[in-house]
Amino acid sequence: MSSEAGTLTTERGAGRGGPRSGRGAGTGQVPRRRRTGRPEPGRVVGRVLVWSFVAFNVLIFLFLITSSVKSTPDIFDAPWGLPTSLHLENWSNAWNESGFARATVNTVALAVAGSVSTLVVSAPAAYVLSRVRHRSAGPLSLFFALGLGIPAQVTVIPLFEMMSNVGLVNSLFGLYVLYTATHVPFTVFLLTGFMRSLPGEIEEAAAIDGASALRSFAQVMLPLARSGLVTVLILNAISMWNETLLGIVFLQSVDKYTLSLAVLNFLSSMQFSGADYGGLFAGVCILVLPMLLLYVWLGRRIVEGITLGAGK
Amino acid sequence: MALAALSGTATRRRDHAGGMSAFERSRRRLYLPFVVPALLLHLVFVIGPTAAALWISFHRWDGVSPMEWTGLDNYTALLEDSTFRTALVNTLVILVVAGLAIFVISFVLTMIVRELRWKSFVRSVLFFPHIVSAIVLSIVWGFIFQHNGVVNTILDRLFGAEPIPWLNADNLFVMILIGTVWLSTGLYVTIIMAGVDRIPQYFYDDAQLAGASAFQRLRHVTLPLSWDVISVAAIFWTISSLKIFEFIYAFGGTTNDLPPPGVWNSALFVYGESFGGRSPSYLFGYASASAILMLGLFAFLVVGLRRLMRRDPIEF
Amino acid sequence: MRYRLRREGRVALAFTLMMVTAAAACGSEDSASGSSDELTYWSMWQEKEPQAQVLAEAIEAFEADTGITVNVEWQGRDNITKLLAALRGGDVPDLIDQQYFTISNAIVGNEQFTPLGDVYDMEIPEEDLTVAEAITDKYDMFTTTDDGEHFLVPYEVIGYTIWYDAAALPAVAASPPATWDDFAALLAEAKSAGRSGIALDGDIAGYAEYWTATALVRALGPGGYNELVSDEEAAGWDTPQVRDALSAIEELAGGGYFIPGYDSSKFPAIQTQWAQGDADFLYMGSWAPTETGEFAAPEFEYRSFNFPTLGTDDSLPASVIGFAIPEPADNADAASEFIAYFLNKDRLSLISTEAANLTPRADVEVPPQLADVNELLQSKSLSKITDGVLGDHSDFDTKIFQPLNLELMTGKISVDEFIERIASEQRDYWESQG
Repeated sequence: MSSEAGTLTTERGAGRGGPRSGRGAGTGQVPRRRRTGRPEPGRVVGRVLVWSFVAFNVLIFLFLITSSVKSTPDIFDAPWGLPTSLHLENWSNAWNESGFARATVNTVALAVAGSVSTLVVSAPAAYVLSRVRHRSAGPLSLFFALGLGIPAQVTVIPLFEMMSNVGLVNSLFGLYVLYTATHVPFTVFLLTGFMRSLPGEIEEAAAIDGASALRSFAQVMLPLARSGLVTVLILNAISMWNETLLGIVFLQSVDKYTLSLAVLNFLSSMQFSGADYGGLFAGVCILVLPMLLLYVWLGRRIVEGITLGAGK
Repeated sequence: MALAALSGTATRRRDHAGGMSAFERSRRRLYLPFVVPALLLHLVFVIGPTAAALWISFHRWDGVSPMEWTGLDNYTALLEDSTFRTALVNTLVILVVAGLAIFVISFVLTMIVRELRWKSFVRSVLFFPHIVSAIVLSIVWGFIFQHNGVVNTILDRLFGAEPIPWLNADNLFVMILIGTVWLSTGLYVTIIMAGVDRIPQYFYDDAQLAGASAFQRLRHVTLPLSWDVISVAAIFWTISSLKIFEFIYAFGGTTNDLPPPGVWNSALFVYGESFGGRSPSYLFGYASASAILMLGLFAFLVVGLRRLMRRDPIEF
Repeated sequence: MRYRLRREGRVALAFTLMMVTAAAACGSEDSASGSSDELTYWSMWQEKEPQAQVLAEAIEAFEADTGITVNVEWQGRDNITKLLAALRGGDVPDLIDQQYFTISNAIVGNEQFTPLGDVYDMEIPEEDLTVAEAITDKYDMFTTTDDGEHFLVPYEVIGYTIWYDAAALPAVAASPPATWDDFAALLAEAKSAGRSGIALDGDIAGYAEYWTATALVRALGPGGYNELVSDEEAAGWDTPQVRDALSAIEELAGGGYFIPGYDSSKFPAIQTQWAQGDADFLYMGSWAPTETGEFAAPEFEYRSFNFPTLGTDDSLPASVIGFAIPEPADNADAASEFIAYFLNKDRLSLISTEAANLTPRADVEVPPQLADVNELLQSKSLSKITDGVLGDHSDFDTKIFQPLNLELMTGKISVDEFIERIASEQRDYWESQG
C-alpha cells in the first residue's frame, strides 16, 4: 500500500508542481525556504519572540529540576539560585514514601490504555463522519463537539451514581472506562476536522483498485491521518496523565492513586503539616518527565508522519 | 492571479467521484458500525450525566438528601448573583481576549518556527507548559510574580523600582489571562503547525515565483489552505476555554481555599458552589444550573462560530 | 439541522433513562456484612504525616487487642469529597476524620451521621473513665448538632492565637498585650522601629477573615458575628460596636502595619517570611509551629497570645479535628470501639509528643511551643473560629464577606463603604435564597 501511495504522490507532484515538489522524502525535514534577499523586519521580531518564549520555558523547566534537589528553605531563600547542596533524598522520599512508585504504574497503565482505546473507538467514527455524506453527519459532529463543553464538575455526581451501581467505583478499570469515554468527544471532534481536509484522491484511487471501504480506511486513511492520530493520542495521554477531579472522587484506596493525586496530596498536606516543597518538586518532575520524553520522542514522529504519510 | 488559479485547482476534488459509486456505497455501510461505539460512549458517559445535571438544576440539592423541586428558581437566582455575572464576564474575556492573543501569537510562532533549524526542539519547548499540570504552573507563576518574586527582584536590581503588586486583587485576573495564553500557546502552535505543514511546498514556491510577499503568502496560501485546521482549533479553544480550571483554582493557595471570586470563571463557579472551598457549599442544584446556562451560551457561540468559519473544504 | 439535534437529544435522554434503570436493577444487591470484625477508616492524613503515624501505631495495637481488622486508607484532605460521593450509593467507610465544620457541612444537615452519644458513654480501655469524662463538655459546641446530638469525637484541638518570636520580642513575652490598644501600641512601636507588624498571606481569604471575624466576636460576643450575617434584613451592621471592630481592622491597613506584599504574594510566602523574622506577629491556628518550623531561625522561640480584647469578650477562637461515623456505615460498633480505644491517655499523648499538636484531654502533656495556647484553652471560654460562619454560611462567606473583607484589609474601602455594601449584598443574598 505504501508503494501505491508513493506512486500517487509522484504523479501528483509531477503533474502539478514540477520537480521542485519532489522534496527529499524520508529526511523528516522541511526544507528551508529560500530568502528573497531583503530582510523582513517582522521576521526578526518574530524570532526574538520565539526565542524569548523558548528561553522562558527552559527557565521554568530548569527551575523545576533544580528545585527538586533543594531543601525547602533553600527554595524560599533563593528560588532561582542553584542548589547549595544536593538533596537527592527528595526524589527517593517522593518515590518510596509518598507512593509515587505505585502511582506511576497506575498512571502509565491508565494513560496508555485510555488514550489508545479512545483512539480505537473514535477514529472510525471520525472517518465516516468526515467522509460519508450522510444527512446526520453534520449534526452528529456538532453533537460530539458540544460534549466537549461539559465540565466534569457537573457530571461527576451522576457519573458516580451510575458507576457505583455497576460496581466500578474505586476501580482503575472504572476510571479507565471513564477516561476513555470522556475523551471521545474531543478525539472525534479533532479527527473529523483533520480527516476532512485530507486528500480524497488517494482514497479514490484505492477505490478504483477495488479496495473495500474498510480496507481503504485501514490501509489508506489511517496512514494518511497518522500525524493527526499521533497528535490526538499524545494530547489525550497528557490530559489523562494530569486528570484530577475524577480521580479524587472515584479512587478511594491509596494504592490505586494516580500521580496527579499523589502530587495533589503532597500539596494539601502543607496545611497542618508544613510544606515540603523539595519533595513536591521531585514529585512534579516524576509527573512531568515521562510526558516530556513521550512528547520529544513522538513529537518527531508527527513531523515524519506529515512528510511521509501524507506524501507531500 | 496565479494564486487564484492555483487554489482553484486545489478545491472541489471530491466532486469528481460523482454520483454514488460502489465504493461510496460500501463506505455508507460502514457509517453505523463506525459511529455507534463512539456515540454510545458519548451518550452514556457525557450526554446522560449532562441530562441528569439538567434535571438536578431544577432542584435544591445537597448531593445526598432527597432533591427538592424548585423549578426555575436556581436560574432566576443566578441572574441576580453578582458573583455569577462576574464569572460569566471573566469566562467571555478569557474566550475572546486570551483567545485572540493565543491565535495571533500561535500563528506568528508557527510561521517563524517552521523555518528554524531547531524546529522540533523549539516546538517541544513551546509545548512544555501544556504537559505540566496547571496547578504546578500556577505555583511557579507565584514564585515569579509575587511580591518578592523574580520579576520584582529584577526590576529592583535594574531600575530600583518599587515592587509591583502583580498578584493583588486588581491585577490577578490579568496575570491569569497572561498565564493562560502562555500555557495554551504551545498546544495551538502544534495544532496549527500540523495543519500548515500539510500545505504542499509547491504552493509556496509558486507564490514566491509570482513575487508574493510574506504577508501575501500568509493571506493567499497559508490561511485558506489551513482554514480547516484553524476553524477546528478555534472551536476547540472556544469550548476548552469554558473549562479552564486548575490554573485559576491554584491561585487560591494550597489549603483548599478558593481564589477570590473576582477571578472566578464559570468552571470555578461550578466548583465553588459544589465541592470547592475549605467549607464546601454543596449546592449541586445551583452549580448545575450555572453549568447548564454556560453550556447553552457556549453551544450558541460554537454554532455561530461554525457558521462564521464555514468554507468549502479545500483538499489538495 | 435543528430538528435533527432535537431528535438526537430525545434519543440521548431515552437512552440515559434506559441505562440508569438497567444499572439500578442490577446494582444494589450487596448488603451489610453484619459482623463487626473489621472496619474501614478513610483518613484525612497521608501515610507519612506524623498524625498518620500515631494513628497507625494505635491501629496496630487495636488489631492485636481486639482482633478487629482496620482497613485504613490514608487518603489525605480530600477524604470528605470522596465520602460525599460515596454517600450516593457506594461503599461508605465506617470511620472518617476532619475538622469539625468540614464534617458537619458534609453529613449533619442531610442526617448522614451516626449519633455518637453511645461513644461518649463508653469506658476508655485500660482507664477508669468514660469518653465524656475524658474530654469534658468544653468541646460540645464543636461536636454537637443544633439538637444537641454528638456527631464528632475530637482527638486534636486547634486554638487560634497571635504568634511571635519570643527570642526577638522579649518585652512582648514578658507582658503580652491584652487589649486592642495595647496591641496597637506594639504595632506602632514596631513600625517606628522599621519593622513590619503583621504577617498575613492575604491570598488565603480565610486567613484574612480570621482577623475581622475575631474582632467582631470581641465586640459582639461569641455568636454575634454569626447572627449578623444570618439576618435577612442585614440590620445589625451599622452599630457602634461593629464600627469599632471594623475600624480596628481598617486601622491595620491604614496604619501600614501589614508586611509589604501581603496582598500580592502566594501562600506560604508570607508566613515563611514571618518565621524568618520579617514581621512580628502572625494570627494563626496552633499548627503554626509545625507549618513554619522548617523555615524558622534556629533560635526562634514560638510563643503566642490571645487575640486582644475590644470589649469584654476574651474567648479563645478554636476548632477541633475528630472522628465521625457516617450513617450508612456497616461496622459502626467496631468504629466506636476504636474511637474510645484511641482516646486512651497513653495513645492520645502521642498526638502531642509525636505530632506536636493539642489534644482534647486536659491531662495530656502539651508540646512546649503550644504551652501558651494550652493555657488559654484551659482557662478561657471558647468560641468557634470565624464564629462558625465559614461552616454555617460558607456560600455567603466565600462569595460576599471574604472579598469585601479583603478590600477593607487592603485599604481599598472605608468602614462606611464596607457597611453599606455588605448590608445591601447580604439583603440581596438572602432574598435570592428565597
